[in-house]
Amino acid sequence: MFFENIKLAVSSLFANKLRTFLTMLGIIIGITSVIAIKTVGNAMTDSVQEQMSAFGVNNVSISMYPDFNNTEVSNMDYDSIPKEQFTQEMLQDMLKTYSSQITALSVEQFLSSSKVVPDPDVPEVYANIDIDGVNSGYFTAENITMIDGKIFDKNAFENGSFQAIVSDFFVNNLYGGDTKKALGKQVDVTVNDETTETYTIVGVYRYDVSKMGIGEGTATKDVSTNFFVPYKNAVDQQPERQKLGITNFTLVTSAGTDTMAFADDVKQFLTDRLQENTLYTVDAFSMQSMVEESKKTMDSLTLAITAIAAIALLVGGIGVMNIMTVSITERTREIGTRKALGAQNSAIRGQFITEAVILCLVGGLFGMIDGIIVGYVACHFMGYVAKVPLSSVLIAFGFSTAIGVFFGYYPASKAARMDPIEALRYE
Amino acid sequence: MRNDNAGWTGNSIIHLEGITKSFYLGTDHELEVLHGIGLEVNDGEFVSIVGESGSGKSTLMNIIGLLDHATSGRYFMEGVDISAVRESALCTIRNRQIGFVFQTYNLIPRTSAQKNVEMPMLYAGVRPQERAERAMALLQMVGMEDRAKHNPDELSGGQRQRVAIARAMANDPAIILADEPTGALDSRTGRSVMDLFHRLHEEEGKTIILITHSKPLAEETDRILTLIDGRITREQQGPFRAHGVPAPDSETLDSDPV
Ligand SMILES: Nc1ncnc2c1ncn2[C@@H]1O[C@H](COP(=O)(O)OP(=O)(O)OP(=O)(O)O)[C@@H](O)[C@H]1O
Ligand SMILES: [Mg+2]
Repeated sequence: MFFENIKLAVSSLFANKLRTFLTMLGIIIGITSVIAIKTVGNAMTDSVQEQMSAFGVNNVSISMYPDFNNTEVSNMDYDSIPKEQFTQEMLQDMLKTYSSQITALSVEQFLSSSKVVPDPDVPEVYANIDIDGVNSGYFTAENITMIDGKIFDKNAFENGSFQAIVSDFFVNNLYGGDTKKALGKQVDVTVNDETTETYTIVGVYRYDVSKMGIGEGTATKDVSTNFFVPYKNAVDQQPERQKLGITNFTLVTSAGTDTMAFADDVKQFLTDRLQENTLYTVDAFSMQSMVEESKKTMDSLTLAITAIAAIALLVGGIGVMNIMTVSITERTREIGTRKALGAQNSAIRGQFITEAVILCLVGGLFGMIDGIIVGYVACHFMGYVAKVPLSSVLIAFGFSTAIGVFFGYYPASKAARMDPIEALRYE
Repeated sequence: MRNDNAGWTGNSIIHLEGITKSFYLGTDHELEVLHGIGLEVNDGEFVSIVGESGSGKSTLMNIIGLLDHATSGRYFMEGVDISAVRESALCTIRNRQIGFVFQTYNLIPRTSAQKNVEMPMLYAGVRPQERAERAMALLQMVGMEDRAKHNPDELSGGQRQRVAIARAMANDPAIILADEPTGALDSRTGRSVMDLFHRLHEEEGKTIILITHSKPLAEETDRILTLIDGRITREQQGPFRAHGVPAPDSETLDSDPV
């Protein structure tokens, strides 16, 4: 009976292809938007999660910059804005005040990108690097895993020694993956295409592909990995930077700290310390706040598109109801005949509900395909990696079936309740 | 569930007593179309109903076929008091006990002859394999086996009516009700359809009630009932009675025209 109903439904839908298609449009549009939202939403969530794990859930990043909301600042020429920095004294005070919440303070100073070619006669052996000056807290904040050797010692940090910690990619490229061979090696590095400095390798860390990502189309060999040097070393080579001092850093909070509240506290603390300089503002930013922020944007976006989808589905559903009513009126004699042949009301109802459901399911199938395409295109333009959620399929079929049953029920019941005589006499 | 109601005595398959039917046109305008019909049809009888257009033949047939309810009166089918039967059970009786043949064929569109014949069996819950086999056998009986896969719009009127008769026979019902089955056919095609009814009557032993406007066709049946203005005014024995079952309340009035 069930299969007979399906066959019947399909043949009657095929008999009116254009009408069937037009009726499906609402459902197609509705399901398309639902699936597209799901796809984009999931991609956004994934991307946020990725950033979150890259940044570290417990980290609070703090920076200061000229307050452009201040008209005094916005009217000034950028270079003429007096420089400001977090002084050693301010930082020490902060660490003391929040000693129970802070486990590490991380600073970073980029120096230069470069290409290391140990032997000019063998140009195919090389490694791309980004020279990055870091302090000891950086390794905690970024959760760097050491494979071999060790982090710079206290002296190296304080003196800004020419020591380096390189990635396993670097070792693969230059030393065939043998970290023991790499340790203690001296490498000549051209800094800012000007000077050449010699660094001694003291450690090897694991390059986290998922964290840093590999640019599209870049061969593993060409990936530019961080070439860590002591913070002071990087600063010493950039005298103009030295003057600027520290304007941003990252704090690693102890487990269980409410990072959002902590970020607010630290921000207030540092703002108070900057009192005399109203031209600058301090920003403290936790992963949690970023998550909240992106959640808010996503929620409002989802809400807007969901509303559109809901309207489309509602309109689609009403369309289905309308066409079922028309179809049932057209087939009044058929219904009368079926009743004369002994069809129970439930059989007639089942037949037309099946028809409505099939109509919606086919619409849902098209909508699903469209939605996946739209989702992919949207993700592409928004710079996310699209992943079709499996739930899409379930949503498409679930919604379609529900709409079919809901909007098909009334017309189908009308058909089921028809008086057989009147139906047979219908002209 | 045989009822032991007073009034029903015999072994007739259809027993009507004082059946009236009124249609309500507007709020209090009532039109009585049947005025106290009494009728007995025996098992295996071939009865024809004749009468002018509008005399109530179809209305009576619809009541007999359980498609409509009488306004008053009593109806027993195979001893069962129909007024006591639930709607869904009426569907089942229509499905198993009654085969309808309509003037306008009423085949289901976009559905092959075979599927049309299978329809009553589908509603009876017969398995697909068995349905198909029986449908083919019935189509063979009416000489339509080579058109089994054709849709109704690919068949002529006579062919459609043959398929409709095969469909009426699907669940091997005891009663065949045919409302002007030859009304839309030319006399030669009508003749062959009529021959089919005779075969169902003689070979299958079906009880048949036939409404017709054709006097010659009516005269081939066991008994002719004439309906005038909602009353059975006359019952005649037909000249070619096949079974010789005497109609309980019949009076022989051969000389009168139908
Ligand atoms: N649903 C209805 N509502 C109102 N009046 C009806 C209805 N059905 C039938 N009638 C009336 O009942 C009367 C009998 O109709 P019926 O169809 O039984 O006649 P008939 O004998 O079958 O005629 P014909 O030979 O033309 O088919 C007619 O006057 C008709 O107008
Ligand atoms: Mg009639």
